[in-house]
Amino acid sequence: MEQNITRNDHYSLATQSNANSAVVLAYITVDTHRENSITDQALQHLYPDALLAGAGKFSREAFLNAVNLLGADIAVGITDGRLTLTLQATSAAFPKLLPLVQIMLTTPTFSATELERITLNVRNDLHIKQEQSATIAREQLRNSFYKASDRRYTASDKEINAALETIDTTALHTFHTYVLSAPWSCSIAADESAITQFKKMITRSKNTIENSATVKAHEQKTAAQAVHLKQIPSKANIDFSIGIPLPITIHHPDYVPVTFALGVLGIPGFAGRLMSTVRHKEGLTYSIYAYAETFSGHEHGYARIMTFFTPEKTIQGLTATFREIKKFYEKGISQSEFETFQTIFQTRQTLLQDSLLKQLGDLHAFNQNGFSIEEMKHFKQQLGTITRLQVNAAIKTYFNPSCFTISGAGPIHNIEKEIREFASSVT
Amino acid sequence: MSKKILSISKKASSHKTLTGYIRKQPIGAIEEYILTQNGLRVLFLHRPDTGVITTNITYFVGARDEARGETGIAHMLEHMLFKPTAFDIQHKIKEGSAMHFERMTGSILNANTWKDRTTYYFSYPKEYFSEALRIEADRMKNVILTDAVLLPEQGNVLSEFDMYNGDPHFALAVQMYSTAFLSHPYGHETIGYREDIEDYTAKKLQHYYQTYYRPDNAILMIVGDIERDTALTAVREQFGTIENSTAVIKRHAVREPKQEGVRHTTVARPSTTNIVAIGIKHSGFPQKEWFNTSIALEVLAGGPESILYKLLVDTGKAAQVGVSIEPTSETNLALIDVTLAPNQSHQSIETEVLTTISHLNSKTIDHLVKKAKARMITSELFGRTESLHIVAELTEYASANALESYDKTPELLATITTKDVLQTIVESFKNSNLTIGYFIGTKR
Repeated sequence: MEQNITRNDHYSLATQSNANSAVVLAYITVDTHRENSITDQALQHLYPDALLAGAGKFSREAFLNAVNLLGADIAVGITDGRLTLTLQATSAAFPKLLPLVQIMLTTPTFSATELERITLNVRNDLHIKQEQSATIAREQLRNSFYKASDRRYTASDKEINAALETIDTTALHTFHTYVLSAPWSCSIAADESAITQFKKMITRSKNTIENSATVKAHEQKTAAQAVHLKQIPSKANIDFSIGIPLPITIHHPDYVPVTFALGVLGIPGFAGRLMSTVRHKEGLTYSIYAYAETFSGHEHGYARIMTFFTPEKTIQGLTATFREIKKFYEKGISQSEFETFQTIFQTRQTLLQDSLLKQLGDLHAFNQNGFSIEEMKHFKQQLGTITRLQVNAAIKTYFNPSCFTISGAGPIHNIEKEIREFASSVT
Repeated sequence: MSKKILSISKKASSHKTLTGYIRKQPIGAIEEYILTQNGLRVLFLHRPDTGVITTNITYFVGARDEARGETGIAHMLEHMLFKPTAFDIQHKIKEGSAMHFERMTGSILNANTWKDRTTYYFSYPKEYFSEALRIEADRMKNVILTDAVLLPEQGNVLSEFDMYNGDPHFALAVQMYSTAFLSHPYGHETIGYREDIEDYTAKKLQHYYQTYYRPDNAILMIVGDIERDTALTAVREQFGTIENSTAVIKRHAVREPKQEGVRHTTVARPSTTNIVAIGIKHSGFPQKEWFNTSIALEVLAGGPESILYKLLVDTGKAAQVGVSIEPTSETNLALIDVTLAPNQSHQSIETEVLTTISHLNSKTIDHLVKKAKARMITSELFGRTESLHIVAELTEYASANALESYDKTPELLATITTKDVLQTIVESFKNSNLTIGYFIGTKR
């Protein structure tokens, strides 16, 4: 199985060639981030469904019918300003799927009737989002880190609802033109024939006119209040996102040591320190993990610990969590821990070989961030060549517990005062 | 089809006898054996050149084996299988070998419990095969179950319960199952009731452990980058000395009393969420009727082309519609779940859904049936590109005692007609087969 990445001015194409593969998986990602205005955010809610709502001579119904008769799937979504199309089909059906994708990309209808329907759906989605406490905790955290023009900032549901009113089909067409003009990151796992056809479809669909829209890069706020809480009385648990912005991109020499360190603290699974202590030793939560999020080749990211506690266990849970962060910061990681986690990260790379989905996801991430295959291999090798000193130096530089922000959403009412007092004592 | 997806080892296709095993009829490219010493069933599938092996052991015990007052005990026992064994204590492995293995190697390690079975899996670089097997063999019989070890894990399970129970969809589903089934143990959720979880003792768990965790009540699956003979020899060495209990496993055949009329249930909580759930009883997996129901549910609420999506989501009356159907061996309850948009009436939505369904005919659903079948086949093919998915699927066939059907699913799907699906819909939505639930969000 061979991997390859090629680039030109208009798109990049990463391929994973699997001879005799029964299935095809492909991604097309376009960075649609511009100024992250409220209108932009509202458009990002509408556009995915609108793209699937009819194209060329196909009504929405006819288009979905054509795709589904093949047993195939086209999924469209926008996260942090990045639009991703996911194509899944059998190898036999993929050649028939591609013309449909091309029609969708080159001649979408964006009818007023469909826009009306989609707008109503988005409003309903925003309504049910009110009780998604984990999502709300994460958004609060990110909004505390970044200014409104940063792609990580989320406008309020009220603001987005108001902006939905202002969007017409012309706005959708304009947004779509931007999508066609911006650089595409494309990746596919398939046999050679499917890869060739995919490439042809891209070149036929892609608009080669350069776009001139203003793009705002990350805009971090100056650190302010360290705790943000939202009362959601209907929940049983309080969801927390506890995090800290990290002023580095993935190309910074500290990036690999930072991600290594975060793995030691809270890698998904049972190996991380937080799971070992806060869950297993102290029984304070069912899950607690740490993630490095939204880093890219040209933007900084942040570290986030995600967990939940019952109201009764919240102060104990937060105390235990910050105790571990403090210990992590003050003492770093031991040599045996360092060696263990080198093995763990190596295992995670090996396990990719067992999953088509994970392999292509991994390749696509490197593709999006501008890596060549050689650069990707070199990057991965760093996990084996970094030193414990580098990791501990990164911990000291970036993980001061007094700089963390606590964001919580759930039944906080009766313990809000205690949470704020706790936050004042540690941050 | 299976030749394209699954690797066939030339060695494995020979009928060479392996010492200590009886070879059964293969299931496509998957080989099945029985360890003669103790009846342990073993499945083997060679997937070369990945560098990865997945081992999965399924015990035929689940929620359906639980008595009243002990609901969720199979799941609790699943959690306890990660605790130290006598070997671990002797070798000072404080957290238990399974946890230790995951923490030292970064392998994927987890387990899940369902209505008919409990399953444990590891996925790891192939050099760890021996250790993974040793751990699995050791914990089949030797976990130390004491109240002191139980207590903190009981807290974790209660935490897990609270996590699920906070979700309105889950809370309503719990009520739906207990309403639909008066007698059958499928009527309680796998995690059990909170009150029962709080009352567990090590003694209760020990009884389940001794009764059900034994070689002749298990099936071990090995899928990955290892030669068959090497794998099976290691299995024989690690598991061959484990004896079965002399006790007979009692399987209580419970006949659910006949349902007469629609059943209703309501959950009311302070919330902004409102849900209408419609439950229909269906045949066991993997009978043809189960697949008919599965396709019927796709037709009704499986995506933007489905009947109820167009009726409710496209018109703004609902934010979401969804379906769930479990691959259980006996008659179970499938659910259609409608999350209401603001200011919608539960009663109106229920009426509109049932009226629409009652008016369906072959013409209206024919194209949807074709598409549902096509998508299911594609989904099956994608699933077979990853060993964890392969063992998960095999687990369900094994626990339904229908492994021979595993590679026949595409053929079976091909035989299902629109008439079959329509007939299933008509039968499923008769009053005597329906359970209706409302989640009512009240103001605090």
